[in-house]
Amino acid sequence: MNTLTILFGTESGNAEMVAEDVAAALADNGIEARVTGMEDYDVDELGNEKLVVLITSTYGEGELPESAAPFYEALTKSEPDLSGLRFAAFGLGDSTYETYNNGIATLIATFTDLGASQLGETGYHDADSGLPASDVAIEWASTIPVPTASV
Amino acid sequence: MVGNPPPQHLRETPPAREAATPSRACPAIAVVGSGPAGCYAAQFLAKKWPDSEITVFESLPAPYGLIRYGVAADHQGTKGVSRQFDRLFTRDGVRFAGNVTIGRDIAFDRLAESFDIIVLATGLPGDRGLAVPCEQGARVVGAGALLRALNGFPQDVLPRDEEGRCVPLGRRVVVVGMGNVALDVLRLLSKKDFTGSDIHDELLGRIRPAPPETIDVLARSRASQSKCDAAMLRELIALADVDVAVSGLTGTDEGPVVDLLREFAGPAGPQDVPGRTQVTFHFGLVPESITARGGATVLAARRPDDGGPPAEFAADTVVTAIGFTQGEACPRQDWAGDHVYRVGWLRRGARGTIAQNRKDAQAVVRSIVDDFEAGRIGTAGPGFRAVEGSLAERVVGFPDWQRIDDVERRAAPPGRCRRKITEIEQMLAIAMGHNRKDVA
Repeated sequence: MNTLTILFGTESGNAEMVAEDVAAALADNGIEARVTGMEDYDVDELGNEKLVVLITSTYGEGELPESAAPFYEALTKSEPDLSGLRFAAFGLGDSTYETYNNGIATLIATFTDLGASQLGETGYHDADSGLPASDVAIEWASTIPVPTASV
Repeated sequence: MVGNPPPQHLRETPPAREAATPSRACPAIAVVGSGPAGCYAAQFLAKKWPDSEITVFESLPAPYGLIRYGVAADHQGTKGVSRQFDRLFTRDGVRFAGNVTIGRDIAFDRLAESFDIIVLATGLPGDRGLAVPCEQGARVVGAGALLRALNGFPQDVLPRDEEGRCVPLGRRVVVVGMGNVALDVLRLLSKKDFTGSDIHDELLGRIRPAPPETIDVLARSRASQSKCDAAMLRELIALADVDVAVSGLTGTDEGPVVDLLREFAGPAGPQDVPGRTQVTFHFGLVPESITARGGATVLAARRPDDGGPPAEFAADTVVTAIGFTQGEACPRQDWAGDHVYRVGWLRRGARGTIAQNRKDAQAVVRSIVDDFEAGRIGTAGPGFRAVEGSLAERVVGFPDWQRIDDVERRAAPPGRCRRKITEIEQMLAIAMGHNRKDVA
């Protein structure tokens, strides 16, 4: 069984909510998705994944959320070969602040450097827009060409 | 979780979850306060025990405490966290019991014997006062009271004239404190464009007919020790409505706040653009006294290593933004017991952002789970049904709140996302399902 994994990094819980909602929307389209916090995820598992969806916010001066930092550090330290991996990326931010969506940009750069290839466009939610983040993310997810058949 | 609404009878009872079975595997939980700490605690508890009976009590008919009434009206992105909490009440089976004040509508002891777990999350709604002599007649306003009023809080405590109208803060304002709350005050007083916000426009117009000409900001600490977030300071500096000056920077000061302020070091220049607010930050100044003199409020402050006379700042209003206290709100100290927990600002003091208090809620819930798994907490409490009878007439359930929410959104004037209802009676009337034509 080839399930997709959604990895979220969150500080306020918003990215976790979005991850769960994207998973539910994918399930409605017959795509099974597992939702895991980056803090609970072992980067060694990435070698077994075909497709991951990265969803994270940005905090402080453009850093990743605290819960995502160990995941990021483990990645940059162990430098796994991710050339067999595809990923999609969605960022949550607030354009009130200059560091709007630095967090997801950091992860995209890291995954790309390690050989992974990005599927579709990067999605963004701007908290200042007043739009519900989950609606924006689900709309974005529908544009990602997720392979539906198990390999 | 402050407020003291008049008794009101509501005919509607909230949608009940399935009645608790006699022998449950999960505890019956009461959370007191629906601000971020209480809602995060309810969220982690509901995740741990999806089948538990959880009730979140709230004094006001409207949920979310600090998110609705503390987070500045022009920071709607931050307020968006409430979307997570909506799901607790619409999807996850958590009960919202609004318009219920513990200690008044239900005795705490009654609550404590009805529920297996009590989580107190009433926050710190009072402004900490400045501990210096303050002469009668001086005009001093707490930042929390100001932000609440601009957020449409039902009972504002701002200074009023003989006719009961809020008085303008004036042309010259002094702000004491240099945390994020002080920056909220600076931004809300100097900014002109509130597009997309839900600011209380009438009140803003009364207390600020025009933006102040000057705001002097006094920080006791050095610039390197400022408590504010650099991102918040950057937002203020970027406003077209403010000119910035800084005094008290030293050569050894460093850090993100200092990096932002360094270019503004020096005294304020002549005000060349009318309508802009001159904001001057003064670091390392310790307030000594507040006096009323010739119609002005004068704050005297001194650098600790300076033997000369104190510097004096004459203002129309002094706004204190130096932290929060419990005030006169609940809970009392004796609201305690083996199954009573405290979370968020009430537990740890007025420190940290909403996200940091999420971590606190997570940690408190972890200790609750540990206590439960060690057998220190039972599942015998009857839960909400034990108190329902005495409350049914007044409880505002979540669907009732959603009616208020809907009316507020639909009443939003152009350029605003919402127009809050500031009268509790009116909120309750809408919660009951009538009176709609009066407000919409």
